Amino acid sequence: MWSIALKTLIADRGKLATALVGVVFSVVLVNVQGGLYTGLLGKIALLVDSGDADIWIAHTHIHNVDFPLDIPKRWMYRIRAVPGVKSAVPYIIGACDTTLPSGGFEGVFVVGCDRKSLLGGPWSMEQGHAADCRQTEGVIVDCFEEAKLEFPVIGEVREINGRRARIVAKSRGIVGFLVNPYVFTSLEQAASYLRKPADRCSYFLVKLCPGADAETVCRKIKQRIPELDAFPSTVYARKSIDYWMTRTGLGISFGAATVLGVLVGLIIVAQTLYASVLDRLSEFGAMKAMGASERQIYVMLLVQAVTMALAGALLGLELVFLVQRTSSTPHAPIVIPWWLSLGSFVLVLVICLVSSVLPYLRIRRLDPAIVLRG
Amino acid sequence: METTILAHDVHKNYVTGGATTPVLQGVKLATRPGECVFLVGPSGSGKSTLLSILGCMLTPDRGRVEIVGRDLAGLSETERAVLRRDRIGFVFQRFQLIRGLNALENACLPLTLRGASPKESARRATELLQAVGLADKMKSHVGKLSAGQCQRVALARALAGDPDLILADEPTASLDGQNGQEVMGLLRRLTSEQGKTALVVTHDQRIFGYADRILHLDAGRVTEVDSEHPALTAGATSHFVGGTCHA
Repeated sequence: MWSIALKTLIADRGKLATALVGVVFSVVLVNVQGGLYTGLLGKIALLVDSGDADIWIAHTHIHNVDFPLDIPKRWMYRIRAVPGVKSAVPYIIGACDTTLPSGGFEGVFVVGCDRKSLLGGPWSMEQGHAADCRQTEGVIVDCFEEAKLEFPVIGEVREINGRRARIVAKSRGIVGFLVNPYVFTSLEQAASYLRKPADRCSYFLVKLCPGADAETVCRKIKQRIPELDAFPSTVYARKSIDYWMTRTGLGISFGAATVLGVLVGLIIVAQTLYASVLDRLSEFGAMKAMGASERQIYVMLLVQAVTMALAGALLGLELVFLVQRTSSTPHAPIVIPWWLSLGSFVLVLVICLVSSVLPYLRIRRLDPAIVLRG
Repeated sequence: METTILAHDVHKNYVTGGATTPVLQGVKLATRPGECVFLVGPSGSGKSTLLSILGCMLTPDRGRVEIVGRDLAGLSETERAVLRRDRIGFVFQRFQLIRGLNALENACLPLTLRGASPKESARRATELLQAVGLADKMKSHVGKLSAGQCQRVALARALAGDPDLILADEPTASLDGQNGQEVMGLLRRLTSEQGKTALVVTHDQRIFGYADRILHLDAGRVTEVDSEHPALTAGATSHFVGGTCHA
């Protein structure tokens, strides 16, 4: 029956191609939408995920990484005294404007990291080194934000919030979720650009002693300084992501597009399978007349459905990886985790299996005597 | 007496739009193994209905039907399907071959449905395709075969499962005269050689010579007629020889 199912499926090339288009469409849509979504999520918490800190400490009631509140820098010493803390350094993130050669302005997020440890500093460099931010008035911009900043070159002097800034290096692909480019500099320089009092910072970044439990250390920090919230970096990344997901329609819009894609795929596959069966109704009638059992006929449809799912998923995933290779950029990263690809495959398999039920029900109702009626 | 088909007082009505139309009214029919019986009659006389009942695809409203000794009354849908699969071979007017399969695979189908091994199925189907003169067309897809060749494949398929009964519905209707004669010649020869009973529904007077007996179905009743009778050869339907047919 397997062989008959496959041969009859392949024989009807037009319908097979249509069904494959449906499956491929579903796979591509789910993976690309999901990949864009995952990529965006990664951008939301980019500084947290890639910043190398084990714990992020911020003012209470902070919702996401890019919008912190000032906290007294002196609390750093109390944090350093918490058992399990190997090091704790202040960290600054704040928004302001930078001048452009054309005379305009561009909003930027100034990120100030500890001069010595460079914890939270740029981790991927195009030109120069992360340590270059230690230079006086030195700032690091990202090569993928060059257009927004009107193509800054190394050594060029700009103004950030009315103060001199010299481009000393360029990072690569550190592009945040918001439209404002990140500009990395030293902690002190960042405080200067942001007009922040010298005794204030946005965060404390903590590295843990080997074997220390992040949750336990966070709890102890909060006990010691109730005005602060401390989060393991994974938790804080999630918190930042949840902020954007729940306070904007981002999750819903991506989810809706993906569900729509799945639905369209489902309809195409179901319709194609159904049309294919209608087209061959007399063949199925003849098979029933010859004594084919309902199980045998359903196996035929299942084999055809699974074959379409497999072929469509393989083709679709090939296309997805092609799209990813050619279209993924730091601005719109397409990050496709293995579970998304696997999930999309399982999904189309389920779609195809569900789609095979409809024609089966039609064949089940089919009177085999149809073949004797001309 | 051994019978392949035994139908006694078979009635069947159709209800359309609240009106009941009697199609079969006390049909009596019996056939012996090795016999080739033709069933003729005007359009709408109930030939297809009777064939469907004898093919275990339709249940009579009243009466008794036995196929190769098995009473159809009370058989479940599955049991009927198994009876069709194991004991009855079908030849359809429009061949009903499976597109996408070649001649050999089509001929194997009854055995495949029965779960026979591919090797055994292929061996039997090959023999039959050789017997119907298609030794050189076994691997040809049915879409590339002529109508006559398709009906030969259908004939091989009908015989592949070694059934006791062949039900043929207008087997020559889609064929020209030459091909019709050849297919009927093969059907007659193979069923005789293998001791099968063939019940052939047809309008084609050119093939009446292949029948052992000709039954006429009209007004819901079966009567036996002489194949040379002018009523048949003239296409008329009002004169018959003999009464209700008994084998």
